[in-house]
Amino acid sequence: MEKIYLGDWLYNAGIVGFLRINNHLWDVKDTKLISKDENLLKIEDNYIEIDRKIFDGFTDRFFDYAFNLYGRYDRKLNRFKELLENLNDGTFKDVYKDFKEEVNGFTLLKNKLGDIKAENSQELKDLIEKAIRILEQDKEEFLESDVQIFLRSFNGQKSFLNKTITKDRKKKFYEDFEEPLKTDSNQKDKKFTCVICGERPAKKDTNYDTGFSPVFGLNKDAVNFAWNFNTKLPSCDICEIVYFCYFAGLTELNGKYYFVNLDDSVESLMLANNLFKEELEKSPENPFIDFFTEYLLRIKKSQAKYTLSNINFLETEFKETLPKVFSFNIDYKTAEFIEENHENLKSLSKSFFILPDKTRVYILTEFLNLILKKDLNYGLLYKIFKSATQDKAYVSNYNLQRLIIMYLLYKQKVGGKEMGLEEKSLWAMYMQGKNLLERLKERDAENKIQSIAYKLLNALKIGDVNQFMDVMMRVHMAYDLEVPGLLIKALQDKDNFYLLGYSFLNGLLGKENKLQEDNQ
Amino acid sequence: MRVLRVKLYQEFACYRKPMTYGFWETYPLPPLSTVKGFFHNVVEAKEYIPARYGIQGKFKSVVLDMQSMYKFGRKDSENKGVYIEGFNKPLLKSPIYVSNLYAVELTIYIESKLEHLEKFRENLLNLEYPSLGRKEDLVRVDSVDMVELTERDLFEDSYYIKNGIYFSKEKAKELEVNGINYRMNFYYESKNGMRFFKKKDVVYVDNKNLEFGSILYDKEEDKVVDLIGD
Ligand SMILES: [Zn+2]
Repeated sequence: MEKIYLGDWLYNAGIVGFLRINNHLWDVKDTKLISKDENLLKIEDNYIEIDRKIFDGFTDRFFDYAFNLYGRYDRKLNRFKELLENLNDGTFKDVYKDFKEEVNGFTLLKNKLGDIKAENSQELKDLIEKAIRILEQDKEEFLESDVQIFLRSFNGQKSFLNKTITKDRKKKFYEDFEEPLKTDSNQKDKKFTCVICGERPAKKDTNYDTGFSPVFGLNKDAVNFAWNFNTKLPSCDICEIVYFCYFAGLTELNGKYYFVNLDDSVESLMLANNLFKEELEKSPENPFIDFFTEYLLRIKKSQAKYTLSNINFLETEFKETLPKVFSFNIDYKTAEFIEENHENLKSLSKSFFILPDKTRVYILTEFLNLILKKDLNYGLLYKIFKSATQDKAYVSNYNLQRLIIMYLLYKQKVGGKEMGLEEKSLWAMYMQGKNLLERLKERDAENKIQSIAYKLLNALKIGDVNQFMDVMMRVHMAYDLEVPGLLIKALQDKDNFYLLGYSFLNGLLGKENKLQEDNQ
Repeated sequence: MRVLRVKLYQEFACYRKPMTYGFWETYPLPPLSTVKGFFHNVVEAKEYIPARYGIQGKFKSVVLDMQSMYKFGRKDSENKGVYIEGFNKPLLKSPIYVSNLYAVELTIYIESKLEHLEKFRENLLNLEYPSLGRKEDLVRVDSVDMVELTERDLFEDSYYIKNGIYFSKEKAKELEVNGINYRMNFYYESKNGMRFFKKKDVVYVDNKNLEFGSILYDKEEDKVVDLIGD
């Protein structure tokens, strides 16, 4: 068995890619990554272990994966069928123009088609039908050629990707990779061990350089980046093929390719990238924050807080040699806060409110966004309560209270603020709000709730403590209730004011506004 | 057991993972090879000194930075840059990403022959600009002390880990903790003009309650210690 350990991001992408290419050998069950055949593949914490027999049939799997990812063949085929359907005498000119455009840049097809001439719609029909026939009959040839074109942008011109290889690329791949990998018959370099894994002997004349990947950042000239000015970095056959698989570990969106890198484990890495793919398909506008929200909800408590502060997103376009790197820069304390409040955050996952323009705003996403931007302000609470007064917030009072408490914990933990407030103070204030609500009901004054809530909310919006106190005094006196003593704390500090104020309001709005319970 | 305890502070640090080029990824704490190299440098070792290292610490955040690096380019490159005679190559500017740890507080324990430890202490305090990680990652030496470690029975007296620490894989198993597994360079042998690293499996842990087994303990600092090395 050969061990393949997690390493730099590109190598990690290679491991994810290798697993995806061999997706018949594993399964995801309840966020667990499970091998279906431990004789061929074992999945451990920071490495996978493979038997060389895993390479049996690898050529086909490798080519099929790349071919499907490229997707050009299917797109063209569908497009031609579409053109055929739309074709009649009236549309002849337009369809002809479209057809020529489709064929242009698809050299192999163009060569096989010969002259693209059509005088009328019948001739064009024959031509398009011929194109479809060629595509279908010579699919294998198109597959090999397309894969070569596609993978050149990831791996340069190595082996079967070399420009001089114009046919039998699969055969070349089989001979260069599958067969020697399977039988461990690659010629070894007697002098060198692989610099990547440090385990296996290097394969003869195999160097770790741009030949593995142009995005890699080390070309053979950049000798000052290497120890002792030596860019000859020998590599073994296993590490080489892992790097060759990295394309399959990336996720494509509009011609850009993404990878999520983290240190945790093979499993986390795999699941994170699968999730990122899902999120990217769901909401391409803001995949990072959506991914992160969803990621938090799904992961088991992560292995170490360090992981949360060290998730990197890599984006590559191949136009430049260097990938773009994004990270959230979550500081240690924030990571700790997120970990400690994992359950509270989770409870908010389905809650949302609706803006006047009818867009849904998910509270959890918004809250995390503010935390990650280090801008946790009370505007979010205002917006939620504003919608609540209009019956447009779909969050339970209980979960809303948990959100307010998370504000408190965040201010204390990450903001390092000594507030003289505790969770129980906020719950007490919430109960005070409920008391008032009960009293209003007893006195048949439920119709007053809306206007009291409105006044309090307005004071909270503009941060006017005096106005808030004024309303509180009047209302409590009018209904023979004691003014909550905790309010003294609100006078001392703005954060206290908001937290106590919103807690009270939350209690007051209680059942009156049909805040819907989450179905957890 | 007598060991040397070194407390260090770094404003920024990148403990670069091997084989990262366009994007320098960092470990959460300096890896074994870095600390070992640091030790050898400071004692001006002429040959390999067997030692064991306990590495732990914390940082405020991970900050991604873009830096301009000079690297050699192709001679026929369009962007000629500065031509460097001896190497027959032009020097070009090239951007790279660097993951930096910010505000790092390290506590490192070293166990070795007393003479080496004493020399280390003396030299470290005399060094003008010691650094750990990259050359520019300067360290402020907060203290260097010989301390006594005792064994702590975790069944009787559990311990909560609040900061990052590397355990050897074996120790992690004994303590029944998991965390991030790293296979880390330890020391290298030079062969044919190349470095070949021997690796060690370590587990990084930064929040766990230890309730099983026993472990070395520094009472003064209230820190558990695992020494990794030869
Ligand atoms: Zn290798």
